[in-house]
Amino acid sequence: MKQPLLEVKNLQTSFRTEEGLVRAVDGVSFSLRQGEVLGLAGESGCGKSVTAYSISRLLPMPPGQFDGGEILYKGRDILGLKEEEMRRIRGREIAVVFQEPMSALNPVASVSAQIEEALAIHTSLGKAERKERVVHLLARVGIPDPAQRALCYPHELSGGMRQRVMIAMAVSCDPSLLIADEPTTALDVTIQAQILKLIQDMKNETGSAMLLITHDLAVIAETADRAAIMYAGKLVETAAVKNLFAEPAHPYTRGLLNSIPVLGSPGRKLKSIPGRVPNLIDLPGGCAFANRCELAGSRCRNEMPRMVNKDEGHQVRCHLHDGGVK
Amino acid sequence: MLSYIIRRMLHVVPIVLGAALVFFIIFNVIGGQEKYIYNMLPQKSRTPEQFELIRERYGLDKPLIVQYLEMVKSMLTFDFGRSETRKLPVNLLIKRHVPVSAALTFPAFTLEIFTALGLAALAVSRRGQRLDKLLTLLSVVGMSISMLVLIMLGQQFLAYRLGLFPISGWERGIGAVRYLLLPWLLWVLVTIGYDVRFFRTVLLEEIHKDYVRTAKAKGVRSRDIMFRHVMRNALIPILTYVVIQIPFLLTGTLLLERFFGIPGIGDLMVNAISSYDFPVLKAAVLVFTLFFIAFTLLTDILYALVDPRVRLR
Amino acid sequence: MVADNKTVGASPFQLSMRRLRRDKLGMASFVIVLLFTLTAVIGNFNVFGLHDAANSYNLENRYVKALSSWSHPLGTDNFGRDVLARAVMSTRISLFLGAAAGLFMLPIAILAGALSGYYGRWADSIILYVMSVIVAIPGLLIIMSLVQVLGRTFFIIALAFAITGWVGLARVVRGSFIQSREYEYVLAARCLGAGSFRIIFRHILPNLSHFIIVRFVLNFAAIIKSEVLLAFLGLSVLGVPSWGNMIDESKQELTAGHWQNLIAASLFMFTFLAALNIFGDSLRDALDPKLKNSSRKAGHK
Repeated sequence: MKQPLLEVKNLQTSFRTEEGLVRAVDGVSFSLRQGEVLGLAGESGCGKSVTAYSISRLLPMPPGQFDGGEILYKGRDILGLKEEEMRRIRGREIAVVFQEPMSALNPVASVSAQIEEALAIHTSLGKAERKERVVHLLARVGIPDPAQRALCYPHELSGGMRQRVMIAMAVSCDPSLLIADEPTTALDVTIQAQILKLIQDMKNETGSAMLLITHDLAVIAETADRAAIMYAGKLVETAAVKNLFAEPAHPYTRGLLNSIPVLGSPGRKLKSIPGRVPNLIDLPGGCAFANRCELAGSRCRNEMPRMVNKDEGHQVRCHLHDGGVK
Repeated sequence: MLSYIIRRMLHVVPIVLGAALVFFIIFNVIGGQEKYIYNMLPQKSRTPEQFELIRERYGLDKPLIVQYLEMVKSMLTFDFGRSETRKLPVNLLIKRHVPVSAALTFPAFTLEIFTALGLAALAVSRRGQRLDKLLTLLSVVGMSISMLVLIMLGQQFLAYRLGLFPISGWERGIGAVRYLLLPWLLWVLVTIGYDVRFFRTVLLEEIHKDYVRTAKAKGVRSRDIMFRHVMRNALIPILTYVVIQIPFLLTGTLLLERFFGIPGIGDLMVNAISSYDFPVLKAAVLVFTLFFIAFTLLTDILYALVDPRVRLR
Repeated sequence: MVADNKTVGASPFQLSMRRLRRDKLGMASFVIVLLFTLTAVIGNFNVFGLHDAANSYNLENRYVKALSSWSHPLGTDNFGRDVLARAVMSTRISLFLGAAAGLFMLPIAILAGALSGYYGRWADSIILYVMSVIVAIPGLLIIMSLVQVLGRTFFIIALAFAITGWVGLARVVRGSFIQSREYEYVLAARCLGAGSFRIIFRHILPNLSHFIIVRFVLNFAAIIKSEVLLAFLGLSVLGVPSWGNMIDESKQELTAGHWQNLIAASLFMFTFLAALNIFGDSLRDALDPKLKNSSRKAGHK
């Protein structure tokens, strides 16, 4: 079997805070093949963004710190790289599309200057060639009148346009891995689908793999090949998107799916998951989801479930699939 | 742009009117100028006739509103007459003293601002590390020492005991630099504590913003992030802060000029206040007000140059 | 449900005080500030013949060196007066001056800021105009003129500091009022029929209080430093020892090698100012952790 592009093994990332150590990512493992799209989903605060920023090493440290695990990118452990080596990878190999296109763009630099900067760092193009490429990139992400728009400043563009600029910037150096952190959350609903489509197109054009972070399972259904569900710093279920939606195995995944409205089934009642996300500072000993779970038994409260294979490529962390909850 | 500048220049008039009013109230309404000048006369010439003469000469016998309008008129037409104590035309005094203060203030101020920015950038790029903590400690020390104490110690040790600088004095032309070196150095020491701390705060706030993370994700070097992204965005609060400091320049100038015998405008002004030399005081107030307004105008134009979101209206 | 028992049910103020208590350096500074305050209050009375030692001339006992005798631990000055006693007495003037000026300043600043920020329109125009005039004139110039004309008394000097010092705070108050006019909680209060007065004093000002407290503390430090400058210009409080007066007196003594006045006064002053500055920082961080890295902590000189 071919070596995966990215392999995250037992990643542990935490933050020191006034209240104590927050274990934001606690033993997450997954892998990503060339050209594959993995959707990482969960409620806010579950650690999905921290996972993404651990991979690109963009977490502020301190207060953040790595407590263990490996992130193998093309077989090399990223966590062991020097900052300068990592800098060369960022933008060139691993690019990020951020959630908030307003604040993620430098307000006092023009669109063209910001995209050009990445090209100047990672390519040997001359100034004129870079300018040309910027216009070309802007055209590719669907910005009308790109030569003119390149001279604009972020505040002169609409939210959707800004996100297109963000995407143009991310793909400017043909990265192998694209990390998209809630790329559509801050946008109007009407624009979300367009941007999602654009991200997919760009991914296909460049042939890169993508890690898509979202709280919206619909986005995953639309875009991803495989999905991973995260809860309280741990993965609770991973599966091919088809399988996940057809037979969700973890009660939490089922809860998430039940809370999305489905078009064409008006009689179905939406259900919310009772309770709230636990505090990551002192987690209970057993399954973190136990006190919100309708099916939980005594074993759930005392023993942390293992990740088990349910089917080929479908893993779940639940006692229901590993000997029962009693 | 030009029409903006012209419109802004017109704002000068009401500010000058207000500044004139402040000093008019202090000296002509609540203070009794004539009494003070009368008391400065030699014993034998303190006669009621002399008192009336003074009132008349300074126009203090006229109604207050007339006095005020005359003051405003003299300020707006740059017609200040002669200084009572120095027996020279006020305009000549101003012309002579302003360049001296400028030579003292501007090099020191510029040097200090840029040093402070550099140190702040250094502290922020090493935030939380030993160097950052040391710089923070030093700025608190700098903020807690009295300016006067620092000047006295500097003069005592560096000039008097070690003889590295002249103790005090002044000469015209390029030779003045010799007398300015120590005041410049002391100026930097006195003000840098505040400024490093403030700039550090501004840069620190800026460095946590999302666009910095974007730049990092693009693979930009930390040094370039600091100078090309963070500094440019921080320029607005930094410029604002620098303008706020402008009136404080006088405090420093005044003290340093008095201490080192430098014949600048601060020195002129202290003497004018203590001897009720009203013509000089009026001129000095005007000079400072104009200077401050010119500087704020300059910053507003700079804002527009730095930040594309700012439009001059 | 796993609840964080430490943070549940505590008011923001309680949380702040908890943060402050955890800040060891800040608490140490606070203790120093308290000690100085105590010294100032005690120094107001002639305990142990303090005022006599500080004010009585003894020309046979001039320039006693520091640390050379028990009766004058920090030595004596030009007139044979005890330097320690004078430094202690000075604490009183400097601290009371800072406090009085701050107390005069607060109502002016808050009233002006609230009026112009909340009502806007003509009130805003007038107050903005007054502020821009005061800002355009160097503060020291106004202070010097006022003290020159009205006399070198404690009250006049404190008042002069207040008159020139209120603009910075008023601007911030104004800014927050303009902002909070639009905030949901103010709109909600208005919908419930609260009057303007009530909205200003019950809903907006309490949310500004942390900033006002910090500003007060930092302003304190600025005034103590300015007093020294006034003393140098011969315009500090007349006839009583103050740190500024002591430092000014030492001016001529240095070349002759008499350091008593300068060392005593600047040590007292430095200790107090350093403690005050550090405490001010801790207080700000504790009261508003969001502000920790904010540019709102503008400088004071």
